[in-house]
Amino acid sequence: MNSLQNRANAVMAFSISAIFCLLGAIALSAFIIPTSPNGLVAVNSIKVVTGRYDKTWFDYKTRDNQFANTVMQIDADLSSLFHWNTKQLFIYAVAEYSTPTHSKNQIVLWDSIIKRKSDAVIRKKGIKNKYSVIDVNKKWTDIHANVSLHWNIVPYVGFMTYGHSQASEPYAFPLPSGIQT
Amino acid sequence: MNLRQILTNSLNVLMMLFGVFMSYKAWGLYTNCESPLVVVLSESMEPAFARGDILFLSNPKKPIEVGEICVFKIPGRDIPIVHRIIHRHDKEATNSQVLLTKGDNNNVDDRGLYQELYTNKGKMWIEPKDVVGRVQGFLPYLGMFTIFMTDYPLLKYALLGGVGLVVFLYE
Repeated sequence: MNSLQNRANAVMAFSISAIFCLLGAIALSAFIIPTSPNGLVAVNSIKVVTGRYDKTWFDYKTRDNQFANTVMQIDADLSSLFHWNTKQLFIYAVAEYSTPTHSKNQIVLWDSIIKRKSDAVIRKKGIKNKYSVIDVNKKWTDIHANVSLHWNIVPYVGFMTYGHSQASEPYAFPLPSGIQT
Repeated sequence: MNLRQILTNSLNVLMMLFGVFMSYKAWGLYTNCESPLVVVLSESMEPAFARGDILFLSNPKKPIEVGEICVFKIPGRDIPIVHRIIHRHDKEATNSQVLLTKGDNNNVDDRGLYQELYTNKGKMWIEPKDVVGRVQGFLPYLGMFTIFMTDYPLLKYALLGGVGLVVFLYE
C-alpha cells in the first residue's frame, strides 16, 4: 500500500493539481484587479502621396497608389494596467473609417511594446506612422478616419485582454500632393 | 502476472488515452476550432510568445479585430503561423473580411510570406477561412515537452516504452 511508488505518485499528482489551481487563480485574478487606463491620440498632420512602392519596398505594380503620411501625438497613462500578471503591453494606434465598398476598416498606424510600468506613461509628439497607410482600394479620396489608442495585455499566464481609448473626431484625408520617395 | 491482469491494464491505458482524446475533441467543438491548443515554434512574436509556449485558441462568430493574434495557414504551406492582425477591411454586404498580419518581432508585414510560393503570386491578404484560430489564452513553457519529443524521437519511444511496461508489470 505505502510503497515508494505510491507515495511518489501521490506527491506528483498533488503538486501538479496544486500548481494548476494556483495558475488558474492567477489567471482569473487579472479580471478583478481594478484598472483605470486613459489615452488620447491626435493626428497633427496628414499628407497623401502617390507611389509604386510602400515604406518596406513592397511593389504595388502601378504608380498611382495613395499612401498617407501622418504625424500623431499620444498622451496616455496605462500604468494601472501593469499588475502581477502583466508580462507586457502591446499598444497600437488605429485609424478606423468606412468607404463605399467596405463598411468597416481598421489600420494600425503605429505600435509599441511596453515591458515596464515606468514606461507606461506616454507623452509623445511627432510620431510618424510606422506602417504604410494605404487603403484596400489604394485611394484616400473622400475618406474620414478617426484614430484611437488600443492596448493588448499579454499575461504571464491566462487570458489575452484588450482595451481601447475613446475615438478622436474624424480627420479628412487631403488630396494627393507629391510622390512617395 | 496473468493474461487477465495484462488485459485489464491495457484496457485502463486505452481508456485514459481515449478519454483525453475525446475531451480534446469536445473542447474543439466548444471553441469551434480544429486544434484548440498550439505550441509556438518560432520567435517572430517575441517577447509576447517564446518558443515552447502554449496558446489556447477559439473561433468566435464575431469578426476579427485589428490587434488580435491569429493562427493562420497560407495555402500550400503546412506549418501554421501565429501573427498579429494590422489591417482589416470588412465588406458587410458579403459578410467577408480581408486581413493583413505581422509578427511583433518582424520588421515588415507578412506579404512576403503570403507570396513566397509561386502559386500565391499576387496574394495581398489572408481571409477568415485561412485563420485556424484566434489566441485567447496563454500558458508558458509547457509546450517545450512536445518540442523535445519531436527534436529527440528517442524520448518519444522511451515514453511509449514506459506505458508498455506499465501494461505488463503493474499489478
